[in-house]
Amino acid sequence: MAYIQLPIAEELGREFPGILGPMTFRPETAAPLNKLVNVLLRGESTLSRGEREMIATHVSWRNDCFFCQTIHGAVAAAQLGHDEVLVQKVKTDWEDAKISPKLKALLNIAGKVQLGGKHVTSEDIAAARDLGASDLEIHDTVLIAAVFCMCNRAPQDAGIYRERAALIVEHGYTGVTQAAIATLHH
Amino acid sequence: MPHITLPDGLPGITGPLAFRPETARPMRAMAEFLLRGPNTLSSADRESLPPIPRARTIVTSARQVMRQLPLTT
Repeated sequence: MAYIQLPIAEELGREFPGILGPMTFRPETAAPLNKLVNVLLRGESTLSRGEREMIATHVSWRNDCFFCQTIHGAVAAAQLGHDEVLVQKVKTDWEDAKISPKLKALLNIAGKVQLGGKHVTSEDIAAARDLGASDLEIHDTVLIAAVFCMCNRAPQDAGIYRERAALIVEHGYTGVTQAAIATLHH
Repeated sequence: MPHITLPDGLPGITGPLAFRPETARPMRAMAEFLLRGPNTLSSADRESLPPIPRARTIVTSARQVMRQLPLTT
């Protein structure tokens, strides 16, 4: 259960997952937020869509947002030759991932932004610039990180897992699966 | 001093907003709606972090975004 009453997705019998819950609750704020994310992740850029999704995924992993790191990791992989291993590596072990040195320098900046804008140093910026990052790429990296720090804070999914846990504690694993199968036949 | 070259004479977030109008547009629209749009909280309350969890979360998050944007050393 979310802390506020969100619209219920009929096909799911509960709220939409992740930030889709708050977005369906408040279309007026969802519209500009989606426009912003469209510009940042899908608009014209010298960074590929896959690279930008990797920045979003890395920041979401740092923020421990299950929904965002999973969906944006999947969107990244879909635009990186379906390389899910690479995307996983970019979350946890990005310094050794097979990505360009420039993207590593941008991920370093994004990671600092996740801690707070003031953690970014002149050396971090100089390193990215030396590897060919433009002002626009640095700006967009910071804004992707900042926007995902906002989006990562919106979902309140833990309640869904607590509800599942309560069912499992009450009925056991077999009972929960049987109950789920039973709903398919009705 | 900002880390990237921004238009002169624009303090805080206004520099990055002028630098990148494509991202500034939706950010302004969201700030306008959240802080000045129709709401049961007054604009003054919304500008000063209203004591309602959902609104506070959004405004705090938006402020975090704004703070990170000037890219100052």
